[in-house]
Amino acid sequence: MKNKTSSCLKKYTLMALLTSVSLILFMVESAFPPIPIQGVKIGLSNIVTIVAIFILGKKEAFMILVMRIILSSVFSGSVLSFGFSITGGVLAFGIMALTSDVFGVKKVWITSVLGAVFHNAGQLAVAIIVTGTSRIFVYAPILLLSAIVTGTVIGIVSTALLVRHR
Amino acid sequence: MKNAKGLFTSNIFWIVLFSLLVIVCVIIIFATSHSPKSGKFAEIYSDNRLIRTVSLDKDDEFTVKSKKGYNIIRVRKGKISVIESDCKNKICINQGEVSNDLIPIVCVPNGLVIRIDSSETSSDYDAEI
Repeated sequence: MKNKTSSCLKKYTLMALLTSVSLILFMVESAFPPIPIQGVKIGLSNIVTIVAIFILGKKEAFMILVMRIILSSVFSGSVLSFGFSITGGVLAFGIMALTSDVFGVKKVWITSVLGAVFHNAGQLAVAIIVTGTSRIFVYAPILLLSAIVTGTVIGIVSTALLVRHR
Repeated sequence: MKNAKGLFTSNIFWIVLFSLLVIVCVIIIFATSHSPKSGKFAEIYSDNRLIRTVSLDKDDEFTVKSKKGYNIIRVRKGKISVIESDCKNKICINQGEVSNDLIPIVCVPNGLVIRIDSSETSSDYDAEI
């Protein structure tokens, strides 16, 4: 009984810790010089989501993600940025949760790229709905390109972290 | 079945797939970034210096002189053209009327460049994502 409480406590502490790390990474990224193309992001916070999926589980990772999005919107964003983040974040999480078992820790970069692609696809969809113009679709190739590049980088970093965690 | 699954989970398959996507994206980006956009203003450069910005909405006719020679430029119905030049090849005149930013009018002998400023129309794309 005592053991269970202690492992539960450990889990919640780790979740809280990862949420704050995720939030810090988000803040660090927004402090970088802005990338001239709208919607192109490195997605540092995604490292935490990937790591959490593997070391804590999907449910916990999802809770960390949602908490991070809510908190980051409170700190630096608006209602609109919350809409963008939650759509992209949930879509990315969905595909990553589905594919994380298939690819495992060693091929996490594939999961990461798929997540980034879905994240950007979700944001593009929201942008088209919000502005009501399909002309924004010209961004699609740029967003896909950036998703593949940043997804690979984030995936490699995540693998490095996960290997050290073992 | 096992082979198909092996292919799906292999690194090589995804590396090839993502590389192809990257190549396709780069091609599309380059292709679309060069699509002509029309503008409302023309910038006139003489010897690499911006000497004049003219509105294409107002019909006009004026002469640009440089040390090397002169060009007479005409603005008519939202289009700009060189109608007279003392250069030898007359490429600038033969290019005719221009209203998009695809190819600027260039008169190399006289050091003249006429470029359409399409930044106003392209700002439509600057939406928040």
